[in-house]
Amino acid sequence: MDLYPIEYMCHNLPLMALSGLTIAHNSEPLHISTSGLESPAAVDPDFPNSFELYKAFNDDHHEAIWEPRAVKSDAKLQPTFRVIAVDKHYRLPSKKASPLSPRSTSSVSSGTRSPGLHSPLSPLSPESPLYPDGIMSQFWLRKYRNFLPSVVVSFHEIYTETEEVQMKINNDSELIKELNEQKRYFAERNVKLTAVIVSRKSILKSVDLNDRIAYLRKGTGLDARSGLCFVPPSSPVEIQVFAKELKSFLSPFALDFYGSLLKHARKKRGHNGAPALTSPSMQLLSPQGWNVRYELKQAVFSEYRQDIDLAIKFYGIAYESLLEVFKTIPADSSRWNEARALLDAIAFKILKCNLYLNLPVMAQKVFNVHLQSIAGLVEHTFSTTESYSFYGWKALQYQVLAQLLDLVPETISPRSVPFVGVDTEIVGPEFPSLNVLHHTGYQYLNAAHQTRMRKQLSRSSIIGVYDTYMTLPPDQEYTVDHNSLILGFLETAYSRFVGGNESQTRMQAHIAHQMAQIYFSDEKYPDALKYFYLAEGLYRKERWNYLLGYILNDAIYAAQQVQDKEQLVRLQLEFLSEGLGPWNKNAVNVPQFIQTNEEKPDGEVPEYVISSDNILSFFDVNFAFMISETHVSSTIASQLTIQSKHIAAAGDVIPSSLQINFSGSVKPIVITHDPSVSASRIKKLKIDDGDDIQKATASLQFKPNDIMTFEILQLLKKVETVSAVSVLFTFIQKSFVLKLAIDLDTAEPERAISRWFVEDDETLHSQYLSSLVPRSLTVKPKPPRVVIISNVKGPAYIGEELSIPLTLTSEEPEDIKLSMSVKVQNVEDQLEITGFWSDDDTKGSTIDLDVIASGSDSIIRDYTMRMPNETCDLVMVVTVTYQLLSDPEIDISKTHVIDLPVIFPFQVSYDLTPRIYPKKWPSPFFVYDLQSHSPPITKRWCLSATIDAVDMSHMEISDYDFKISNKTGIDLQLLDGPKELTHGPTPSDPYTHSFILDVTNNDAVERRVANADALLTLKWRRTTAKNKGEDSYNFFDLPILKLTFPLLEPRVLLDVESTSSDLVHLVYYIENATSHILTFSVTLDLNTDMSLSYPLRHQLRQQLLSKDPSAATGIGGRPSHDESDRRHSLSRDQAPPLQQHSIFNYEGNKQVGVRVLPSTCRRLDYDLLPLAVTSGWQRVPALRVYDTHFKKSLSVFPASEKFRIDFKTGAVYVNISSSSEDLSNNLGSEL
Amino acid sequence: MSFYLAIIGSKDNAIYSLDFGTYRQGGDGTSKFSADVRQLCPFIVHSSLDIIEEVQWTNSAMHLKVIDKFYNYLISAYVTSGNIKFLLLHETRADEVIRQFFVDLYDLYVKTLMSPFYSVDQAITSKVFDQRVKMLAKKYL
Repeated sequence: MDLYPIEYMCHNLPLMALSGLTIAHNSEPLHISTSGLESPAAVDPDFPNSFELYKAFNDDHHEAIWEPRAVKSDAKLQPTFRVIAVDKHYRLPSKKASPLSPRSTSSVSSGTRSPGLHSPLSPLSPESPLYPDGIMSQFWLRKYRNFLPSVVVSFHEIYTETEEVQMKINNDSELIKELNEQKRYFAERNVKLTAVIVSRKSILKSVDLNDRIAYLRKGTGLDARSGLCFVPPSSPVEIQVFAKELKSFLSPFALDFYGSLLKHARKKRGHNGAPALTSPSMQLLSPQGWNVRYELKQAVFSEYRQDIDLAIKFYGIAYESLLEVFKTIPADSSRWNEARALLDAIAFKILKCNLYLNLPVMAQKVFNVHLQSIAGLVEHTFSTTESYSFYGWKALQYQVLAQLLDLVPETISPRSVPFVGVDTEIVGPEFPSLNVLHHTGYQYLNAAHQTRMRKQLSRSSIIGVYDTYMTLPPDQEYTVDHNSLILGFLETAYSRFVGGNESQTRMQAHIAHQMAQIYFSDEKYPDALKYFYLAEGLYRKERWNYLLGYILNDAIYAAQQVQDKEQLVRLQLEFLSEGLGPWNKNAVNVPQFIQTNEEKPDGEVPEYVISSDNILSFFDVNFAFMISETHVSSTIASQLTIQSKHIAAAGDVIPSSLQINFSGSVKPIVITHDPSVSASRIKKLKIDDGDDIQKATASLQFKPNDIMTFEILQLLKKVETVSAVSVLFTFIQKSFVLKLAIDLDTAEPERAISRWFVEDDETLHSQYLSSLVPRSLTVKPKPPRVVIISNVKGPAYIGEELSIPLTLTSEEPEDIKLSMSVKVQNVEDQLEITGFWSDDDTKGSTIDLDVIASGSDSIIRDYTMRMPNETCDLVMVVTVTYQLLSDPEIDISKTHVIDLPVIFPFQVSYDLTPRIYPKKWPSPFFVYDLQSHSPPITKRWCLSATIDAVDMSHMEISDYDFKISNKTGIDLQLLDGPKELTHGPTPSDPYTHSFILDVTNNDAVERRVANADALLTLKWRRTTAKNKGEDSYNFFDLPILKLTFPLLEPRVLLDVESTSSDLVHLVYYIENATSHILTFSVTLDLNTDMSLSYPLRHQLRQQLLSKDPSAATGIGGRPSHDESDRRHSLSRDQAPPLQQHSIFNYEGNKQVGVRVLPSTCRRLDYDLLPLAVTSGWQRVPALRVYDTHFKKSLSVFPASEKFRIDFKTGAVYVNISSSSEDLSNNLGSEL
Repeated sequence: MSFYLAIIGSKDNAIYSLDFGTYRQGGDGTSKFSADVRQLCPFIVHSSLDIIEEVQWTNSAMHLKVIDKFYNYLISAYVTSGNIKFLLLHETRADEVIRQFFVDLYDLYVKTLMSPFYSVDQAITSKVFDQRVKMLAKKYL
C-alpha cells in the first residue's frame, strides 16, 4: 500500500482549518508539492483554552485509509471533518497559475489575449507536473485534502486585560477589521468562515462582553449561529460539546462547498473534452483524458460529500474511461505507470466504497474485474501476462487488499470464518469461491502464491518492451529476495488463520507446510523443522498419512542436519509406520536411528521418551481382562495383544522389553526380550513377582504386521478398580535408549472393543468381549458365606415389643470369628430404634458371637425392640461381620435387610344404633331445672365395636378399657355389660362388643346434637409370643372415636317382642324430643309376598287351603282410623281369592295419622300371624312413617338385634322360630 | 261433656290434673275425650297460662272466667292469692257454676296447703284430694 501515494488510498473527508490556535511554524507559504503538514502544529500556549479547543476539534484526526464512520449504517451520519491547524495568516492555494511562470513564458507568446489562466495543477499549466499530457496527479487530491478547506474556523481573543474602555474599543475595532478581511478573503473562494471569539473572563466578571460581542457581530455581519461564536472560559467537556455542535452546524456548509465543486466539474464534463485553450500551444491530452479527469473529480467530490453510491458510479465511469485512454499512452513512458497507479487507485476506491456499503461480494467482483482488466491490458500491450512484473503487481494487489481488510471491521470481513455475505452452501461449481471476499489470511496467501509465480518467472528472459510498473527492471529483479517476501506473506497469513479460531486448522497446517518447505529449500533447517512440526501435528490428527509421510521424509533430513537427536528418533520411529505413502521405502530400523561414533566417556547413553500421543505409532496395542468383575484374592487372566504395523523394508522390530502399567495397586509387568524363547502367536507368560515389578520373558521379535498376544495370570489382592494404563516399549541401543509410551487411555473408542484370542490346534479363534472397557477390571470384596434367616412373619404393630429371631448359619469351610449388629430405622431416616439382644447383657445393637466352628449348628439370637407409636416403614439391617481365623486381616461382611412395616394391630369398626330406653319419658310439664326449658329425656344407644386384625388368629385380646370423655351438654352413662369381649367361632374371626350408652340431655339450651369422645384401649399380645407372663401384653389405644348423638331428631324405632310362628309382635316407637307437635302419617306395607315366585306361592296356597280355607282367604288388613277399635277381625269376605297372597294376618293400624306431642314417645303395636311361613328369615310388612308437616319419610331403626332392616328398601326381616314352644320360651324369657 | 282440670303452681309447674265427665244428661263421670285430645289437653291448658299472666293484673277478682278458646273448647281460670292457677277445660259456657266449683276447689286446696306434709308447689298426690275434687265435679258440673 505504501507504494501508492497516500492521497489515492485515504478516505476523503471534508477539510476544516483551525486558524489562530497554532503558532506559525513556517513563514514560507506552503507549496502543493509538499504534503503539507509534516510537522505537528505547535499549539499557541498564550491563547486562552488553546489546548482544549485544539483537542476538542482535532480529536479524531488521523490518516484514515479506512474511515469507520463512513460505513453505511442506520444511525444518522455524524458530521465528520478532517481537521488541520493553520496559522492566522493562512493563504489558500492559488487558484490560477502565475502568469509570469517561467515555463509558460516560452510557450505563451503574449498574455494580452488570454481570457484567463488555468489552475497550477492543470495539464494546461506548464508548471504543472501533468504538463502537457498527464491525466491526474496526487497533487490535485492533496490540494483538497490538505490545503483547501471547506470550512475555516478562525479563533480570536477578545481583549479583557483591562477594563479601560478606550483600549477595548481599539482592540475590538482592530478585530473587526481583521475579521472582515478574513471574511472577504475566504468568501472569494466560497469557503465558509466561522469566527470563534474566546474570552479570558466570563461575562460575570466583564459585564460588557455581551454588548461587545453584539458589536463585533454587527461590525462583521457574521451571524450568531455559525458566523461568530463566543466561548467564555469553559470546562473541557463544555468545549467538546461546543466543538461537536459547531461541527454539526458547519457540516451543511462543507457539503455545499463540495457540492458546488461537484457541479463545476460536472459542467466542465458537459463540454465533453478539452477546455477552451487559453494558449495556442499543443494540446496533448486527449479529450478522453480530460473526461477521465472530470469524472474523477466528480467522484472525489462525491466522496467528500460522503455520497458513497454516487462516488462508486463516478469512479466506475472514470475507471472505464481510463482503460480506454491507455491505448493512447505509450507503454514505455512514465505516464503509463502514472495511469496504471491511477487505475489501481480507482479500483481500490471502488472496492473500498463497496465495503463501506457492506457489499463484500461486490467488492470482490470489483477486485476480480480489475485483475482481469489489467491482465487484458498487459497482454495487449506486452503480448504476455506471464511475466514476473505482472505477478509482482498481482501480489501487490492482494497485499493491498489484505491490508485493507485488516482494517475493516469483522462484520464485513470476518476473521473466524472464511467469508461472509453469501451462504456457504451457495459456493460451489455454479458460484466459485473466487466470487466471495475471503478474509485477510486468504489474501496474504494469494499474495504469497503470486510472489512464488513471480519468482518462477524472474529468471525467464524478457524480450522487447517490458513492464516495469511497480517492479524492478529485469536486470535488477534477481536482487529481490523472493523467498523472504513469500515467507513474509505466509507468516502473516498464518497469523491471521491462527487469530481466527480453531476451525481453520487445516489452512494453518497447509501454510505451515509451505513455509517449512521454503525454509527447507533454503536450507534453513531449524526454521523448517519448526513449521514441519506445526503441520505434522495436524496431519496426524486428520490422519492424512500420505502428507505426513511426505513431511516426515523432509523433517528427518532436516533433523539430521541440525542433529536434533530427540526429534530425529521420534520422527524416524514414526516413519517406520506403514501407510505413509511412497515416502518411507528407505526408512531405517531402530538401531540405525542415530549414526554416531561418539563414545560417551562414562558409558551413559541418552534416553528418549516418546509418547504415542505425539506420533503415529506403528505398535497397535490392546489390553483386555477376560472378565470385567471379579472377587478379591482370585486369579484373573488378561491378554496383551500387540500388532506391529511397521514397514516391511525395515525388517523386524525388536524392543528390549515392554512394560505394562496398571492403575491401582497392581505392580507393572515387565516382559523382557529373550531370543531363546520361541516366538508364538499366543504366549502364556510366567510371572515372577518382584518387589516393585512383576517380571516375565518372551520373544519380542516383531515381524512386519506381526500380531502377538501375551496371556497373563494375576492374583488380585485388593478391592479396587484395576485398569491397564499404558504400555512402555524400551529399545536399548548402543548409543541411545528409546522408550515408546503408548497410552491406552487415549485409544479411540472403536479400537477399545477388544477381542480374546484362543489358540486351539494351531488355529486361532477370537471372540469379542462384552465389556465396554475391557482394559478395566473391578475387583470386588470376597463374597460372604454366612446365611442369615430372620423369622419375621407379617408386619409389626405399633407400640408392641417385638422380638425377632435371627438364625445364623456359617457355611465357611473354616472357623470364623463373628459379630452381628442390627440397625433399625425409618425409611426416611428420621427415626432410629434401638433394642437389645435377649441373651446378651450388653444393651447394644452389636453382639459378639465369638468363634463359630465350621460345620457347627445354626445360632439363633433374638433381637427385641419396642415399636414406635405411629405407623411407619422400618428397615432392619442386620450386618454380620466376620474374619476367617486363618486370615484375620480381611473383614468379610454380609448384610441382611428386613422390611418391617409398622401398622395398627387392630382395626375397629363401630356402629351406633338406637335402643329403647325402658323407662317412661319425663313429663314436659314438670319443672326439673329452672334454667332448662326441656325435660331431661334419656335415650339409649348401642355402640357396637367390631375389632378385627390382619392376623387375628395370632392375636389375643385379654382386656379392654372404654372411656367416654369430652361430653358436652349431655349426661352419659355407660351401662355395665359383660366384661369379656365376644369372639367369633374361629380364632380368625373378629371380636365384637356392644356398649350400651344412656344419653340424657342436661343442657339449658336446646341442642340438636351432642358430641362425646370414646376411647377404647385394648390389652393384647401375640399368641406366638414365647413369654406368656403378664408383661408380655401390649396396650393399644385405638384412635379416638367421635360420637355424635342427635338429640332432637324424631326417630322411629322398631322392636320385635315375639318371633314365633304363631305370633310376631312388632312394636314401633315414634319419638319426639322436640318441643313441637309433630304429625306423622303411618302406613303398613302391603301384606303380600314379594319374595316368593308364583309356583311356590301356588303351592303354599294349596297347603293353606287344605289346612284352613278361611285363613287363606283372609287377606290384608283393613285400614282403621279408629284407634279405640284397634283389634278388628280380618275381612274374610273381601277380595277374590288368589288375587293376592298375604303371608300374614295382622292386627294394627294399616294407615293412620299419628300426632306426637312434644317430649313424648308414641308406641304402635302390630301383631302378625304368619300364614304361609313356618320358620326362617321372613320379610314382614314394614311400617312407613311420613312426617306430614316436613314432608319427609323417617327411617325405621332397629332397637334390638332380633331382626334386620334393609335400610335401602326399608324392608324388615324377622327370623321366625318354628314352633310354638319357642314362642312360649321367647315370651317367657322376654317377659 | 268432658272436662280437664289442672292446678298449676306458682312457678308454672303442674301440681294436679284430672280429666272427668259430667254426670248430667246420663254421663257416667268419665271423660269422653278422644285419645288425641286427651293427650293434647295439658298443652291447651298450659298454653293459656300466658293469657292469665296478662289478665290477672286487669281483673281484681280471683275468678277470671273464660280466658281462652281452643277450637270448641273453652278454658276458665281462677287465680288464688298465692298465685296458684286453677284451669278448667270445658265445652260449654257456664261461668257461675264454674265459679262455684273453683271456690270450693280453692277451699280444698287451702286445706291441702294446711297439711304439714305439703309445701307450696308440691304435686298433690293425695287420694282424698282426688276423691273430693271428683265429688265437686259431680256436684257442680
